[in-house]
Amino acid sequence: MWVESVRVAKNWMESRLKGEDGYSKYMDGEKTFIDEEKIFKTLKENRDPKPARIRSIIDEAIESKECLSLEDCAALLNVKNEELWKEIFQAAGEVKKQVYDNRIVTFAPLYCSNYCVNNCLYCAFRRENSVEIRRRLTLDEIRREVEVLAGMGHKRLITSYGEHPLSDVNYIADTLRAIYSVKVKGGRGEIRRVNVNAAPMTVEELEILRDVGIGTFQVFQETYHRKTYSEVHPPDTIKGNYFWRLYCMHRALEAGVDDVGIGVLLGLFDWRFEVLSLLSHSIELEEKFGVGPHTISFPRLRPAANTPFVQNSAYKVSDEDFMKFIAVVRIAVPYTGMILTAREPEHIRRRVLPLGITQTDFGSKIGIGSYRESYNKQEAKIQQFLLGDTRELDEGIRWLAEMGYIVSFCTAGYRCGRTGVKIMKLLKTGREKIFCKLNAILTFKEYLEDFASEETKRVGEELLEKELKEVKDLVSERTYEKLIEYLSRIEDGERDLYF
Amino acid sequence: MVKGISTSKLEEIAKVIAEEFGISVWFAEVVGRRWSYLAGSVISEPLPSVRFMLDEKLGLVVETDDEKLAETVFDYVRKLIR
Ligand code: SF4
Repeated sequence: MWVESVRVAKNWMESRLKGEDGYSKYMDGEKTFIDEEKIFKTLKENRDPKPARIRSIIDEAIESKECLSLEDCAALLNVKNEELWKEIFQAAGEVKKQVYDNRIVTFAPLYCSNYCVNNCLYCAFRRENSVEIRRRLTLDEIRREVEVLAGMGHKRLITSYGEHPLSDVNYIADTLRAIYSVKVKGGRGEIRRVNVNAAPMTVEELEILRDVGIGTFQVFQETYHRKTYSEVHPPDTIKGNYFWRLYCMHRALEAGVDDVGIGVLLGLFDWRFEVLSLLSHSIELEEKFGVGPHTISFPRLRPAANTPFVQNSAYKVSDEDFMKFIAVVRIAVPYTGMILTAREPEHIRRRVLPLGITQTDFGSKIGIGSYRESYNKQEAKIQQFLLGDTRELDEGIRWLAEMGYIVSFCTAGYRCGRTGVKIMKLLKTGREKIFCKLNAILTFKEYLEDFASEETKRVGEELLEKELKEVKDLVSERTYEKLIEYLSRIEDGERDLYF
Repeated sequence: MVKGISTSKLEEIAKVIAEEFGISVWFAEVVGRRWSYLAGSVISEPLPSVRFMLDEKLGLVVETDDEKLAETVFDYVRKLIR
């Protein structure tokens, strides 16, 4: 039985590797948009930048909200003066405020299957990790997990799957349908947006996900550095194909999935190189499709069961460098959403949130079936890695509110055509932040009405009052009146009202 | 293009609506719950919007809180794309 399933997985992997390449047509001959030589040269040529240059780069970025050039970005990365870094941190916060204001979108991860044909050295789900207990949730189990998540008040999920015939595109599509079908608390608890973190796919497969209502399609390159990439992703695996992965967002955009999320796994290679690569990727997508990445993610390597690579990595990113990474990405790609996950412990989250984070998760469990079955403990043998922050959603929301952030569960954008070039324009002109604020207020109010503890309700109502005062100066009288009308309709029991 | 209408034609219609009614509209390709922007106004005012289906794939978003006006615009657009 076991031998048979290994054979099926092997055949499946081979058939995927043999298929049409899915990337040559986007390439310029042999060249990709990641020009390593140019990146290293740019880093070298922009050493020791003068403070005046750094200040003018910052001012220009805040003003234009366009991507930085590689040269300007390299100059920021090469700053040595810690006082100047403080200015960069402040500027990063300002960019976030101008594009998204003080709202933080929240979500929860849902790990559906940990079978995987790949063998990434840093991952507990790798096929040769014999201590990992393998499991794929049935659709009934998925629904039960979602009942717990929707019952907490979550409206957005990110689902995650290993790469395996058992979790192919049809299974993923089925899980999305199952998730959207769940309603709890008389319909007040429901998931309105499902983002997907999965393996790269063909255009046809991505069309299937588009049709079942995928939110963002997320694939991280892990590292853009070719040599490192091939060292950590064995060549006899699907993931060993650097190009197939590098161009998966081209295929997603071609398939009409116009929210794409890119990212790196920090700790595999030099973080400065990865920043310039993420910037190159963003510029490439904007040039080719008119749409940059919806989000950028940057998880740091975390301990995982029977995975010694994590301890031995030579490129671990310190807390100080992590802050610098986030601030520079924020300034370099001003319009993108930036995701900080519960991999990071509370004290780090507190430090880096002001640098431009737009999304974070709470109440997260990353074991397969963990929401329903083992609610309060982490289990290394069914997790990809160990979390640094396991606070509940309610506590997280209160924590953020006490710091002046309003949590948003907004899922309006992709349901009313604010996508593609439209969302890019709204973000770059600073207008999207007004929609963000209005929809944050409405979804926050829903949360307070339906799910909040008494303590969170008290802190939340105070924050709402402050937000309403602020928003009054930002919008027309007519819009403000509409907002007030919507809030009272929410109090009367209506749900899912948005701008 | 959806129903044989080009995006440039949709752009034109959005301009006509802005001139005739003084409000913004945009068009989206509708697949399931996703409304992907196709053409029309890119800069929106923060107003509620009303959504209509022009056919099984083409959506119209009218930016107004006046539902009657939105209906009128919807009818007008339907005539223009016929
Ligand atoms: S990182 Fe992803 S592809 Fe690699 S082994 Fe883990 S689950 Fe599989």
